[in-house]
Amino acid sequence: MRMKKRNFTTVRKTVWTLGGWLASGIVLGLLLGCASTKPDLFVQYHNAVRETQSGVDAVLSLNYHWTRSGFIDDFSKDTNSRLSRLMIQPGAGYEWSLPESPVYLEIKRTRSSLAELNEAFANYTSLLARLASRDLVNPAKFEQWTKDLNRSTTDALKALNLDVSSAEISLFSAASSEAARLFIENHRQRHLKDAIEKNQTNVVQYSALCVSLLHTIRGNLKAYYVDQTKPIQEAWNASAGDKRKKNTEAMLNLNEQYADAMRILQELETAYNALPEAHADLARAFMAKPKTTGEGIQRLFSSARRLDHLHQQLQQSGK
Amino acid sequence: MKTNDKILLLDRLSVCYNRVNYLIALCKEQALTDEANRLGRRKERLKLEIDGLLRDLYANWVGDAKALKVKLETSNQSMDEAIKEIERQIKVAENIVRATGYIDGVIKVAIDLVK
Repeated sequence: MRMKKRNFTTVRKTVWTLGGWLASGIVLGLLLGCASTKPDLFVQYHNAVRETQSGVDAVLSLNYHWTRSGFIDDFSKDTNSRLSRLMIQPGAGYEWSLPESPVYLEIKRTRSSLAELNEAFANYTSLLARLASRDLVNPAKFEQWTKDLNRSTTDALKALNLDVSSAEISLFSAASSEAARLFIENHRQRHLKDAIEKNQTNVVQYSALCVSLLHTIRGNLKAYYVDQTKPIQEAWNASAGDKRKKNTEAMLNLNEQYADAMRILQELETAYNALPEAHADLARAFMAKPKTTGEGIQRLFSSARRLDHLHQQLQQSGK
Repeated sequence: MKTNDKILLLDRLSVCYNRVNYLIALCKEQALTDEANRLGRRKERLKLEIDGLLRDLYANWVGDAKALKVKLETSNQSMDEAIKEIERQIKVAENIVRATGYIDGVIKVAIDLVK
């Protein structure tokens, strides 16, 4: 009999634990109401960011090649040029320097810094998508636990000869599992909301920094387009008749590359300017507003799709 | 000079550089060699200014990007911890379900012994 009493105490403790979840679950359930995160929006945001990032890298790559070939051309033709200016001076450890750093090397450094910054930002959007994903607090897992709880509680109650209907047991098991799920789900949503709110400033800063880089690249390409025309012009002047066809074609190809790069830069500016508003949209997705469709995100996503198309055009005109 | 002013200046200088180049091409087409040479010197001067501005803008950008990267990485770390915390909570819930099953097993054995 004493053993039976002790077992009753254990069962009561378990019931208290589950009851605690149940109570907090009911409260949280009421608080959460219809508020549900929309994981698709977060994934769309992450994908759009990735597409935008590859667009910048494509124009930065073109910019690098134009600036490098422009430098080679200028340096080779300048009678005052000395090859010693191109000799690396190794420093301590991995350090090295050049007597005068050419612009193309600054672009190379910028490209590598941009890759690191983009990686950090893409990690952020990827973590957001993970935190917003339904898989993190998977309802199927909790349903399975409901079944397990249901079975073991039935067995225990049978052993204790307690007269509880199976419907009541099922209700209790389902309610306690749901309470636990709601408790964890509440934590997930709170973390997600905090992350978006705290990072809004970082997103604004990231967007502004990228737009400023786009403007620098725009000025860079404008200037180095001139240098790209120089060899074509010289070849044109040195030839005549049918031989000029090749130079004409080279000039048209160059113009297409320039025009495509400018269109990409313009589209990238649209996309980067849309980034902070789209990010704020993610926070609005928490609110129980059925009208929240994530218009900012849709705008960003449309821009990213156009970028993908332009990006392909630029690659083809560069061939 | 602020970054935005530098960018604006770069844009103006680049446009100017293109126009000078166009003028040189026109002069050469009309065999105005002296004028073309004079403009060529202006063009070189402009190029030096543009390159100086570009070096400056890229170097500053790299510095700003590094600072922002550190901020993003710190934030990512705390988000990663939040995800791990949720995963831990799920594990706790799972363990409680398992423990309940285990306790029930013990009760059954105990009751059988008392009987």
